[in-house]
Amino acid sequence: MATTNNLKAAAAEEQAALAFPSPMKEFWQGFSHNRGAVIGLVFMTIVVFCALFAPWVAPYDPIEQYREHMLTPPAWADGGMSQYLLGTDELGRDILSRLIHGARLSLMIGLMSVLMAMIPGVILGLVAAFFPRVVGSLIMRLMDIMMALPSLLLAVAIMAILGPGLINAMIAIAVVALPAYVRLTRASAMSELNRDYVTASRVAGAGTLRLMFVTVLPNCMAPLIVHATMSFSSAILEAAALGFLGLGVQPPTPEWGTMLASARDYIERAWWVVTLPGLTILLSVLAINLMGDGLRDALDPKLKRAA
Amino acid sequence: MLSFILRRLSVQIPTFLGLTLLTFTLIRLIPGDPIEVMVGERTLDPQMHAEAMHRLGLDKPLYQQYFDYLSNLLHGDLGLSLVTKESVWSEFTTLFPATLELAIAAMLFASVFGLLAGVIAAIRRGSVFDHGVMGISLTGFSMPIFWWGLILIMFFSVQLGWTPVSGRLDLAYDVQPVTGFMLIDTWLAEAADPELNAGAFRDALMHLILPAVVLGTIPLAVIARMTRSSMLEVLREDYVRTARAKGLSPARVIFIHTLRNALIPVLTVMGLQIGTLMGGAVLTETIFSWPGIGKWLIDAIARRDYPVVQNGILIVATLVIVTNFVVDILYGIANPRIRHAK
Amino acid sequence: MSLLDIHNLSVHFGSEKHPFAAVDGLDLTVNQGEIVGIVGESGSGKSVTMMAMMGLLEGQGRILADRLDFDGKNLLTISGRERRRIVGKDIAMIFQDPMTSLNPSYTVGYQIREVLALHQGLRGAALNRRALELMEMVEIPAAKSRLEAYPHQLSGGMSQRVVIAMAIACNPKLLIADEPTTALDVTIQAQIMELLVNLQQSQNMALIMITHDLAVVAEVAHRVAVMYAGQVVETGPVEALFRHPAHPYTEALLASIPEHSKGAERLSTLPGIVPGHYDRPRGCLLSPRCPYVQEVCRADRPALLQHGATAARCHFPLVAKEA
Repeated sequence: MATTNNLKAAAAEEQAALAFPSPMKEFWQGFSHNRGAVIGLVFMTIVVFCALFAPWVAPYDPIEQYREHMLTPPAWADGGMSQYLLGTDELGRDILSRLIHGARLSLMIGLMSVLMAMIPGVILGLVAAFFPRVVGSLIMRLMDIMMALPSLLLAVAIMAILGPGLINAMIAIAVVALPAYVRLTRASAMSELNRDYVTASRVAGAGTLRLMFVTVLPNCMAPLIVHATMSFSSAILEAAALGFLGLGVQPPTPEWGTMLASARDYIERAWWVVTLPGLTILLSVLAINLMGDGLRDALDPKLKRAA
Repeated sequence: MLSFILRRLSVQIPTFLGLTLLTFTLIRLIPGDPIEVMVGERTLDPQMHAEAMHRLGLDKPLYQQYFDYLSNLLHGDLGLSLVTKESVWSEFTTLFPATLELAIAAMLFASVFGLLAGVIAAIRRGSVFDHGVMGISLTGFSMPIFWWGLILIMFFSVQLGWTPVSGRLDLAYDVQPVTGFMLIDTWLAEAADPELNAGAFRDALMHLILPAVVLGTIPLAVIARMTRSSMLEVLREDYVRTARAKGLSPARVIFIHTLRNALIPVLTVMGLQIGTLMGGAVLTETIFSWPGIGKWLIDAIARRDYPVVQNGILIVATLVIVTNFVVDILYGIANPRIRHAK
Repeated sequence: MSLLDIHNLSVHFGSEKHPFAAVDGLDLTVNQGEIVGIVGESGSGKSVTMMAMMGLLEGQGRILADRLDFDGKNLLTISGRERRRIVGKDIAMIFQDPMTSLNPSYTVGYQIREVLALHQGLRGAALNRRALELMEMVEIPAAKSRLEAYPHQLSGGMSQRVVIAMAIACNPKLLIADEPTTALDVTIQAQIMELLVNLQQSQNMALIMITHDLAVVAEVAHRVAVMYAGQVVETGPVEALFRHPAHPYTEALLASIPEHSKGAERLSTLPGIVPGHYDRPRGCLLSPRCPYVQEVCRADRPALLQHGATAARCHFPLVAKEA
């Protein structure tokens, strides 16, 4: 009895001495090591804050037209007015307020389309990995076909069928993003399937569903998370492109891409109408991609350990 | 080599068949039937409606319709545009050279500068140049290219007046479309009539530069990043050390022994960029009013010209499949290990 | 005059502020036509020494030496261009893993011809003839067709023969073989080793054989240098060093060879591990592991001095103790 107690004490001591960092802490150490990733995170935190509290942060209603102040330049430029910090557009709407409200839409489209692509994508990918013969090869063939269509073109084609609008844009972007999730999940699940812990779980009597979601899936998460970040940023880009082509969110809704649709007419007269929405898109997408690089760095040790 | 090509080709055929199924279904997913869509707001009496359905073969069972569609495709019949009544194929062939010219110019721009930047960044790993290339390429990768196009127009065309704003050629020139490639056609025209068409080639070139840069931006970023990481990987290989131990010059070690092997993954990535390029062409051509396939498709969607949308997408996707197939073959030539794999 | 004369060579890696010495004050000479074995555990600096000499470290390591002469030329001060005229021609090197040492994109023949064209200016038929001759010299069967093979189509043993053919292409004065058989099957190892020794004799080259296999050294080498943690701890003629090792580390190495400890119940092992780059002891590098350690060993680093037939870095050489 005494010996077991001693052993327990020794084990506890050993545990205390080693003091493994918690996964979160370890992750943060890896992530914060990448300076770009931290800058991206800070920028995105601001964008998310603006999106969440848009009605309170934005100085004006985004669709309110101040006809007497049409095409007012930004406050710092010649002829600018301090009450319209980033100027007004061709209908006298405050650009800053529109950008802040636009953050809501862009983030929502990004988030929803990532979820709408990731959930079915992961399920299809797991099915393809677990039943590689008939179902799997059928799924992969279908994905190959979808991959053969240029992503923007496929999104445009889907929008042509569904008609323009916010929800339809999310669906189109999600459909376009789907094949990459399926491929990625399948590839990482296939490599996990050969490992001993899966066999052990199978031998222990785990059912297929349990094997899929409890045993294998958690070990495929690292690449999926990194990819989700990247596809979040490309979703924002695609939503903006659809908006620009007049197929996405319809005016007067303040969507970043839609704001640029009519901007071409003001190239010679109002640079701020052209520059600011695009710059917002670029900075947001860049920030997310920087974060994605940081995530990859932080998750890479795990990826390497798994490989 | 031939068996390698045939093996790869056999994989592509089911993909193409699936593609036809996709475009076939796509058009039938439109809410309401095509006749109603075509007629639009006007009401149509049921008699005429049924006749129109019969004329288009839409009253047959679905599988029959699909086989008809396939057999039409096999006979090279891609249908007529509802708007212009021109055959879709002839519209495509008139417009395609414009897109191809733009795409080639963009890819040339992206490959030359991407490879160069990637190679130098890899050789000078950790230098200011390396960090600069990585920063710029991440920015390029994040670029909303329709906005990028507007910014370039604003700066180079409006502010500086260096390049024209849109189109392929100034209206003052009289150039016959011989090849469809404006650079070649203007050159021929200048040679044929030096007085009337003086400066046509230069004008066509100036029209091409901005769209090509815009379209090439994302591929440029991707190629630069990929080249750099691939070069860094190969530079660590034992056979590069062997090459240096032979006393070969640094240039030979880099270009003959390292780049050749580093190019293999870069080539794949370049192939994948063909899709991006076709997608990007939609945006670029819209911004620059470039009379190509991308603008054609967007206009067709706006006009609800469904035969054009359906088969236009089919042609573009087929093109992407074909280019990827060619890249696959090139990949086999570049990499003997793959060519010999059974 | 020796063909290769290295005196007090150090190779530092890492930052200027916190450098670590992968090679630390190394002395080595190799004479014409001589086989010198360099023995040591992995990480003892054997390969780094050779890479430094051939200029293969590519600015990663900082190389310092009192003397680094090959064939009367100072390798430290010559330009990169001059060095490349020597490297691959007068000094050639064979690496550990033949499967990764050949470029997968080019045929074997191309890679052999490349050296010949560069250093001997051979062209056309003469070039092809010489490439074939080399393939035959390294005893590759069906040499003519193998010239057109890609590296992935050859076995490990065949690949190593190709690497050897490439190395001896320009009749080098010095051939360095860096664990040339480690990556190969046991049955092939002896063949490759025999080939190397035969070539060494027929070409009258000097051969540096880097290995951790003492049996190989005992069999082929004329002289041995034993390396430990970046230094040569003992060097001398093979016979003397194996019979009367002066350094405790050499003694421990010899005791770990199965043939030497016949009758003993367990193979003898040296406790502890090679000191890491940042925890080098101030005194003798072996002092933490040495069974004969004294106070002075922990305080002062011994110099490489002649003790009987061999030279060793030890305050209390075993030879002296016996005498």
